[in-house]
Amino acid sequence: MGVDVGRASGRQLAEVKRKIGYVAETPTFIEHWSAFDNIAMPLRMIGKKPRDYADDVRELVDFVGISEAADLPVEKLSGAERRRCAIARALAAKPHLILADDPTAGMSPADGRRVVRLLAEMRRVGAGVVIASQDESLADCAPILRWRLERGRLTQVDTSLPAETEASE
Amino acid sequence: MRNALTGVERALFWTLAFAAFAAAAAGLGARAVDRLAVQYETQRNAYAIVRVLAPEGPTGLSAAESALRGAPHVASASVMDAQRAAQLLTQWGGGEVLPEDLPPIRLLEIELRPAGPSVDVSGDVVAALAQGGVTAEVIEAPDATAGGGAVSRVRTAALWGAIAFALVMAIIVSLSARGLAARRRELVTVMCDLGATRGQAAGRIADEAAVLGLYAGAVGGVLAGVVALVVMLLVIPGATIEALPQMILPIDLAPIIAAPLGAAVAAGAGARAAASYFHAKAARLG
Repeated sequence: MGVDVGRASGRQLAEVKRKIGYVAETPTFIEHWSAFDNIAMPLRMIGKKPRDYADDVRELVDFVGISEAADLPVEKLSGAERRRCAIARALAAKPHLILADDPTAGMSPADGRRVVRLLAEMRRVGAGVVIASQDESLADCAPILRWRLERGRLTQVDTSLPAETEASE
Repeated sequence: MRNALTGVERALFWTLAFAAFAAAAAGLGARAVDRLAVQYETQRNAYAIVRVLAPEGPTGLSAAESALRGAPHVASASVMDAQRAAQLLTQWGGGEVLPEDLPPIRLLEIELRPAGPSVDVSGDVVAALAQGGVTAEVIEAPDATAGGGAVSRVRTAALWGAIAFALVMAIIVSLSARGLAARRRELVTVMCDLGATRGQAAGRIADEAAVLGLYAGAVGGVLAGVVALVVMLLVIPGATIEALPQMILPIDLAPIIAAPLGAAVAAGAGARAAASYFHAKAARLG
């Protein structure tokens, strides 16, 4: 993104953060706000009005599969729903890069595969996606490049993208 | 103002309102002291006593009274009888003084019109008396250099006392608003994670606190005004609701107007400082 984050000012760092959709291992939310409002937060921060973003956010809510929970306070969502809410929020502002830190932790295998496929799909809209996970088998459910971090060394496991397959749950 | 005035925010609102009430009440009190001091000073400066030296007896007193009618600066003049002298001595000295115990009085009381500070009022009055064939001296209230000046000291003390008290209340408002920011720490952290600058995150919290402070300050200020009106009606003899508009000067309303503005600024500043701190911590962790 053209910024040395080690030397960047607070404003520059904030600018970089806005270009990155980050899905933390334990995402933080405004717990008493609805999932919808939390997902819309990045859009409100850049000055968009509810009438401008409502349709886009509804679309994201459907995309991550939490339509029925969208109007509930986040504190009432399950772990998997919170994770999907975090993914939707990370995607809301159409970031250049998506960083997901162990996004499937605590999820059932089926939910985990679904989340990885959701994230991988974001490449179609031009965003780079980096997923950190301890579960290597997740790499089989979407066409992604695998790297392994072992004893502080990052090595590429795949040398080419695997053939795109229809993943099944 | 999302979720404002619910639960903890309601308690905060009344804390801010009470602080604003106290500050406004102190301001109104200072205005009352100032008005009383000015009134006292005006009355003091408008009063003097003429002591007739010659001619002696009732002739001198009536000649002086006639001369004073046309004298410059003099609004009215009246001969002081023994009863009035005893009353004044009782009032000033504290102990009871009987008219029959007093020697023959050769004094006149005069009401003076306002004059500039460089005008020699006593000299002009003595000159007017001399033209009327009366030798006399004028006894005015002592000025600042002769042991007076208490009025200006009282006015200054009231003003700075009220300002100091208002500043203490502003600190209380500011610290209370930091509590609001602490309860919004989650929001600041999320905003920081999503790329909000410190100004954006702190500004949002500061705006919320300032609006809360504005409303609470308005309530506190108006309550102080109502209490002041009730006190005026109870304490000032002859005060009526109809007479109040003539009794109140526009500047007397300054503390009531300043209360919401001061509360908003103090609350906003306190919340902004706390939110900035939380943002900085979240940014370091992020």
